[in-house]
Amino acid sequence: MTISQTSSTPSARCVRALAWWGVAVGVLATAGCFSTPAVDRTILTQADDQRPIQEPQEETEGQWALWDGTDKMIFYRIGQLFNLSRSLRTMGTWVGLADPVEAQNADAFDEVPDSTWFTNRHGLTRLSSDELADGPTTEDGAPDMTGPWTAVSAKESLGSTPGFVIRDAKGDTYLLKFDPPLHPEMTTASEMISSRFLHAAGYHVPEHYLVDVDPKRIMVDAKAKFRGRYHVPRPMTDDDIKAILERVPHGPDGKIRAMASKFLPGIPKGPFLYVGQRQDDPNDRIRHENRRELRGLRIVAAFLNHTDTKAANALDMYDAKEQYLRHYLIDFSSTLGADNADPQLTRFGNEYFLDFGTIGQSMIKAGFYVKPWEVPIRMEYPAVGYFESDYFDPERWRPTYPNPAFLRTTLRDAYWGAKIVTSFTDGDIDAMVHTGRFTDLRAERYVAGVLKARRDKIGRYYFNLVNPLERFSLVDTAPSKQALTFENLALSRGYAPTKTAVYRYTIRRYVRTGFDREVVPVVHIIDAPRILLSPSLVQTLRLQLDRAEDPTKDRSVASIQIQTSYDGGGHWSKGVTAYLRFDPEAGRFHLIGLDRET
Amino acid sequence: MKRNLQNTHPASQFTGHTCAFTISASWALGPVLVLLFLHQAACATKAPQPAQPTEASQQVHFSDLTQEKPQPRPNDMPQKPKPEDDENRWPYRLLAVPEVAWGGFVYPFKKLAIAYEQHDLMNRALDLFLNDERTAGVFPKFALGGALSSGIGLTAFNNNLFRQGKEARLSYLRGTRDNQVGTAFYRDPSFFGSPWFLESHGFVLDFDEGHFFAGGNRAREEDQTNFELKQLAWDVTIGRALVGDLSAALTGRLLIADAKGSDRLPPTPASVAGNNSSMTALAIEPRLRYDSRDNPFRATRGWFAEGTFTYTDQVDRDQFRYLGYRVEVQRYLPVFHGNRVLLLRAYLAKQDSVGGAAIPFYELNLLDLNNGLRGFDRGRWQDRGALLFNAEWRFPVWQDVEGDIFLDEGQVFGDYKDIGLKHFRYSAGAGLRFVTNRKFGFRFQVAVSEDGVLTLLRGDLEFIQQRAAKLGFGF
Repeated sequence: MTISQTSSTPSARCVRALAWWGVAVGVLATAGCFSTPAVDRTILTQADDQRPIQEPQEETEGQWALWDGTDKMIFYRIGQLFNLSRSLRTMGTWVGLADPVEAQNADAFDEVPDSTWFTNRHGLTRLSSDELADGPTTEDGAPDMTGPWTAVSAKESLGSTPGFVIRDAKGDTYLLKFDPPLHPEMTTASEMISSRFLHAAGYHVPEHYLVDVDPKRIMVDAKAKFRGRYHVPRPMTDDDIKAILERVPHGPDGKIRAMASKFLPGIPKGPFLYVGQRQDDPNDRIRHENRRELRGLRIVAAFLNHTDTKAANALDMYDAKEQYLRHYLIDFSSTLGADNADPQLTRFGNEYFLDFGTIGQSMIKAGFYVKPWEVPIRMEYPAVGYFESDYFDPERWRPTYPNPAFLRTTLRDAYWGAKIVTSFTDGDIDAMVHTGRFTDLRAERYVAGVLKARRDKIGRYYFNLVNPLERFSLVDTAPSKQALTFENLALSRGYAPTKTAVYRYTIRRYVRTGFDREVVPVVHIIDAPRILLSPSLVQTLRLQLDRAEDPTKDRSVASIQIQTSYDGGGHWSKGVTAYLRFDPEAGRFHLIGLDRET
Repeated sequence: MKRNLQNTHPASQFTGHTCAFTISASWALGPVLVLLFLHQAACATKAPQPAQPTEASQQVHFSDLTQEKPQPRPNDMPQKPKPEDDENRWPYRLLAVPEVAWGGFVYPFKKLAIAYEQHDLMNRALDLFLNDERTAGVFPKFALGGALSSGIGLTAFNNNLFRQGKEARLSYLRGTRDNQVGTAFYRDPSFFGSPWFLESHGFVLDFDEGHFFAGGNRAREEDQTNFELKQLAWDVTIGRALVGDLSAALTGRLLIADAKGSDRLPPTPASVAGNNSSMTALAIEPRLRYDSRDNPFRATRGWFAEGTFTYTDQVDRDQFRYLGYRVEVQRYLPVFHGNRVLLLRAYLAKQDSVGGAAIPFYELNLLDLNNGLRGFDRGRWQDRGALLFNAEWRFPVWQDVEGDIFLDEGQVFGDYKDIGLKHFRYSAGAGLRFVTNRKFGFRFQVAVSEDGVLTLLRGDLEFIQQRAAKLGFGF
């Protein structure tokens, strides 16, 4: 009798296959990974990105607008599908199994440290009206108006705005930009105003000055080059200057209003891309599309209608003395109502230049899809261009073509940007708009009004999605007693639906076992932004710390999650969690981090 | 005894099928699981680092916190790592390999786009073919689609001849098998400074792929026959505006044609009037036109109405003599927002022979993809009379791109009594029109009819009555 058996029976294979299915389901269920909690993030005030590096190469790719636009509209978007980690994560976020990748350079308080990319300014410490109006300018930074100006270079289309580069009598170099003939003041005012806002927000921008150019003052340098037809440089002539100046509006005295942008200090190393990293810069350790300041720029750009946030409008400068790169935003002639030498098109800011979404909708709905912005609003002031707040939607806003960092803006990034934008009061906005020096004050008031309305839309939208509790601090209420206080930005900035709010909080002891948290007390509801840290809590934490196997590793951290309600407790917002570390020796708490639920 | 391990019990069979499916699915799922594992590995939470000890302060405000300086780290504490991007870890980089490969595929396009902009290739090419003002030039021309299907040639033009606003244009295309077509056009908008305009059109054709379907409105698709046509047509038109949008014109025409059956089988039978014969004819054609459209290329409102009468007489023989008339009305209705437009068109044309003579078959009225019934092939419906109705819905898709959805219905007929709704032929379709207010680019349309599906790619406007366009040689 012979019994023949197969090496693995069908039932065994079936079991193995079913096991694979189980693993697959389990992995899919946990495919999403979560952002680093605040307790694991460091507290940083200054990023460590100013270490000396070898002089890097000049980045040449980003300056070509045709390739950059085509790439970002088509090839980059397709490439992202092929990036399996990003595609999987995107699918995970759709089904609620994963969170989007949060910014990688936010610190424990979800803020951005000062760095070569960004300096915390008005959002952190209010600047005065004069400081806002001055922006990055210095007392002696403006072009010398007494001596001659030497034209050193120009090109047929200077970023599509007429202009050329001059050197003044003191040796400083400036890029002069003029207004288009049909819209005097439009481009120069946009440059001036937007540079002030971006500087106040924290970005590094050039010094911008408004000047009245006397054409008789301009001489052509013997070595000046003009990039003419076919972008081939040739010696510049007086006729080139004449041809440029003939096309721009002149004042009654023959002078021409211009914006003079002072050349940045250092050696230009080309634009920074909004994606990837600079390989020859060891200080550049965070992918640009994962930087908070670049993602959050989306909100500031939406506020200013800066539709031209592309690589070519960014610039890296190498400080030869300190030997590191500093990153700037430049060229704001496509902000507010201006699109270089023309007014903004109505669709800019609402759809990409080639927006497959709206094109697809238009085709599928056969014309019955009417874009909300399709009917232009009548613009009263040629000096303003096309700038409005009626159609403005902070979530829908987009630049002319996709920006990789903007595509990855999460709610936390957007909230960060919204905090900055809403930090500008009406007076702040008036002060900065005034630097545009509109001849018609009604135009100035109009621009300020639109900016205020856009700011308010941003505040209302994002403060509704993210609980806007800020300025957490620990105060002593009595010996050995502390209270956690905070500010509700929605209330203080006027974006709350009501004038008062109530808060509920839970205090938990944070245990480093992932999802496992011990609940200490019950939920409390308060009507003031102040949470007393009771002695019983202190005692509980001290006892639990005493019981810990390794107190040095199992730190005593309490988390306080706070939610807000504007209707007396009917609906509660998402939570903000403050982390407090208890110091048993001093018997005190220290604030060590902040997380926001989105 | 050999134990048969195959169990034929139904439950076992079901289990077996389930297992087979599961195993197959598992093989397919395997790579996905590997990818997910890599993704999960990349997402693993970093090992916790001890918090940096901060100086204990009585009142710790956020603004103060941001001004704290990092305290010197005790020697027994691990060094704080510099912030790194999670997406630079090896699992993420591995999962990004397909993206890198895509970047390699795109690399030539990138280099081309950068070179295009860096060296201003567009202006270099335009300067090669056009003058500085871009009002005149010579450039190569390629045929893609249309009657010639593929061809290469040249176009020379001048939109400001003698700097007096006169226009001239010459085009020539040569295709396969010595097929060739050429057009010449001249327009003087103000003849010797008068309110009269002068136009002249020339058309030369040597083509062996003409289609003829015998049977008029009852012709079957399989009845297609092929003919060879050599033709020279020269029109001279003089006209003027009468009042408002109303204008009149008078055209004189020289028509020389020679038709015979093509080498491409089956050839058009010799019995068809005009086949295997040649003709030299003169024609006269008065015309009245009313055109209140706001734009000829991208009309959104207004009327276009035209009536013509044509008398053609063969001068070298008495074989062909015929007269014809044509009436066309187009109405453009802006439905909403001014750029969603409904176009309604009616067209009627009829020819009759005179004095017992005949009408050559290539001069009969046509309804086909070039003549209003866009779902039907060239030459599909041909007879003395043609009645056609078109309805087209045009809407904006992108800045210089319109979408359209259309319905064409009509018939050819020998006699008016042959007209009937049940004889109508229908075609419907949709497409895209690349057009600005100043010029027309091209149109791409897909049309469906009882004969099947046709795609059109044309560089000319719809419903053009020029000879070249009607035969499918739109320039």
